Amino acid sequence: MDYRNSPYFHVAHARDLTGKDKTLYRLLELVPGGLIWGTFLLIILLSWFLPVWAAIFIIIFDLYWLLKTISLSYHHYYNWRRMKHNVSTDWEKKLESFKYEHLYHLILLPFYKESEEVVEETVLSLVNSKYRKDRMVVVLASEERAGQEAQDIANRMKEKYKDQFADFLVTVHPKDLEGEIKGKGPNITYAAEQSRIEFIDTNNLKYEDVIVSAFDIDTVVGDQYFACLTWHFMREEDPINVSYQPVPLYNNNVWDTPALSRVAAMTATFWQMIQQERPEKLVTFSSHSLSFRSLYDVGYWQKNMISDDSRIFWNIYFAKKGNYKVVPISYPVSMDANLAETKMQTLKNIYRQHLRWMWGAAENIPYMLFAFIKMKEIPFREKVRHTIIQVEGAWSMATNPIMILVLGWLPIILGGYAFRDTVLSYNLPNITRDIMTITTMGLVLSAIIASSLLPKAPDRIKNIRKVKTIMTLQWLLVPFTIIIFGSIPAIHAMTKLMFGRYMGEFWVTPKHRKKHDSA
Amino acid sequence: MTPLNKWKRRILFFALVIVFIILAPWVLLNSFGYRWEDTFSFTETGGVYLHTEVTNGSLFINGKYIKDNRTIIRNILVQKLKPNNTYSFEFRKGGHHTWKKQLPIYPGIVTEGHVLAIPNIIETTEIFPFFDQEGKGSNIPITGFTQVSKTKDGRIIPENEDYINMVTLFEGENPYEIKVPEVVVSVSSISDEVRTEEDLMYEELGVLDKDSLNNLIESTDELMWIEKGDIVVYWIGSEESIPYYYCEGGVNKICNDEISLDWVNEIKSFALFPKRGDVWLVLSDDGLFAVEVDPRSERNVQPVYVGNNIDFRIDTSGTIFVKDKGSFFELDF
Repeated sequence: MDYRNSPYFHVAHARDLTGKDKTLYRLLELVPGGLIWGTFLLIILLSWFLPVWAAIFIIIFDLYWLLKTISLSYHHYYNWRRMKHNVSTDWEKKLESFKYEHLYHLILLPFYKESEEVVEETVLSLVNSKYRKDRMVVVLASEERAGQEAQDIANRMKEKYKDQFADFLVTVHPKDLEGEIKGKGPNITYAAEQSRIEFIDTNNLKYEDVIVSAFDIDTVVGDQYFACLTWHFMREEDPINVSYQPVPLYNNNVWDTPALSRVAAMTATFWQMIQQERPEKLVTFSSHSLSFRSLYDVGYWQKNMISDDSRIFWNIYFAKKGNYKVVPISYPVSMDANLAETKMQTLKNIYRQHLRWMWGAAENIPYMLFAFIKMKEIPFREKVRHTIIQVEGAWSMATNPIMILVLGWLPIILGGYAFRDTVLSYNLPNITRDIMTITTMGLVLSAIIASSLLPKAPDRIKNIRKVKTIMTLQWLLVPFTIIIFGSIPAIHAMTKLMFGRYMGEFWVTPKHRKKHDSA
Repeated sequence: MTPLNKWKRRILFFALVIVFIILAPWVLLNSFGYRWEDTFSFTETGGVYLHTEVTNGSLFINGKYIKDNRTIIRNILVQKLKPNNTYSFEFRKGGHHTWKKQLPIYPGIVTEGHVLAIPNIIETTEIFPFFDQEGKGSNIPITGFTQVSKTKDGRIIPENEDYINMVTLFEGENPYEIKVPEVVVSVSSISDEVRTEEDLMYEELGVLDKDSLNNLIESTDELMWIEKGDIVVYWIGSEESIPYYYCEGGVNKICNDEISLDWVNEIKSFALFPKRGDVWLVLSDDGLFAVEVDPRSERNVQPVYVGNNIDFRIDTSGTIFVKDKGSFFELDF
């Protein structure tokens, strides 16, 4: 079965299917939410009726979490060293051993109503790139629904910087096209197709020779990003069947953001850093790069769902019958952490952004499971491996922090007086506390790594020592942020999916920049 | 620099699996209270948990110092006590009465206790009816008794509001008799008299006329009163929430819903010690005493105010006041 040409390939939700397929897909949509609520229910019931067994489970789980933290911290530390090494490497020089002049970089920058300052900072980082500009094509992908102002910004950027690159395209994605949600996927897909028509085909380029970088509009790349990317592309045996994943750092506005925003953003970065050392668990996330050939073959990004960045991995993975992977390039790209005009609005935005990310994790699970059921060509072992990785990942994000920080008390509360008198009941909170105290040692590593990743402080910051102390102490917020911006949006997203309340619109994270006096 | 290779990751994984296999049973056995003995076997030990409001005191078990409690973590948990033994616990703090208790320890069970250690000397502040020229309390008004305000029937009105409150507190209704609302649940088939759930409850306790009970204190979970000069208390709350001091035994503990205080002298009145459900303030001819409700081993009895013919009250904020020879005193703990 050629899955790419099947009606299942671009399915977003169960409602896109009919008959038995619809029923099956709907059942699979229940899996993430069912698992998390099943876990909570099981712990509550165990705590109520078999508190001793619940306590045993919690203690073993705490131990597992401790050892998992050690393992993740090691991966994190290793990737930190590798990323530092990669940033200081002269990739241009390394590229000398390859013939890569035939390669072109198509840089897609979809945007909505972001300010000119945000757009220009991104374009400038491309201008400052050490890679050959005559092999770089910039595409500013604007939205008709964003109004004339957005198109004016795009046109001004084109006018200002068009001579710097092989080409500078501005696309305007028409509004209200049938079968599309309001979101990034339709816009970036439109931009990719327009680029094919206007540049790739016009110049008779082979699709295999074009590397697409799909960047969020606030993505500021380091000067060696494209050299590093090209080196990895050249080094791959089968570079077409690979996505290239950088590390997203949220450093653009780090000196302006509140502590909660920094911690939430840095936690996302750290997770990506850990995954960089576990590539078999990696799927594309946020800004990433891939071959135009693969992208074209699957009809670009899906236009009917939210998480285009991760879904594109699965689209190509299934189109190529499992012969597709993500290569971590361990090179950072910098983006904006959440910042709004008020602290409360910033917190709301963080939550909404994380809800969107978690929705992505949730909605990919039924898509993946459904395809695994339908496709016989992918080995069973591979199916099991991916299922465990994706399902466990979503489940643990939603449940583990709550299990550790909250549910540890349940057997004592619900277990009845007979359990409350036992030595086990008295030891349970102490052991949980002790194990978690040791586990939080991992936060020391996080603080060290986070501080080493900070960009140079702007001159306006007078008391840098005080600010850095706050930035170290901010890691004490992790137990709260991991629940408020991790577990709760994950539960929210998976429960929405379970009840078929699909997210119909891509919520664009506002990119607010603080105004500073130049004096 | 190459990515973390598979071998390194595998070694790390299996090393952590081995650590888990070793650590998990050890942590679990510890959590259950098992202790490795010289006889190459495990013994399931027990523990004791002492609640206390007093900070920076020291706990001794069988005369041996064990540990101090702290300001933040006041309650004390001691584990790994050999089971099926009775231990002598002492909580000592300078300037306070020493709390002593003999408590049994059972395998796998934590025995609870609540330290009672009130100060040896309790400061008292007399509440005077008038003020002197410096604003301090006085029994005589500055202007003399001839010029003070008087009631229509010629009684002198004190200047101090607190003193007036004391008079009201001591002359008013017995503040310890807290009434619960009556709920009509059944109508007797024998007579037409309406009997309430409360009547039935008292009947079960052998009380036919609850108004005849002396110093009755009613709460949703307990009933207590003075009977033949002694205190009796009945647990009427749920079996689940019965306090530990009503019970004895290990896993299959046996609880008795009645505790009595057999006092040497006749008890004149009593109340619950402020913020303590397990301590009585007992008034006898010798004075006012704090007495544990907990009947396990000998009760701790600590003097609060020594004197003859005194009376006491507790106001809504939990402050204890004593009336001694016509003067009012506030006790400052």
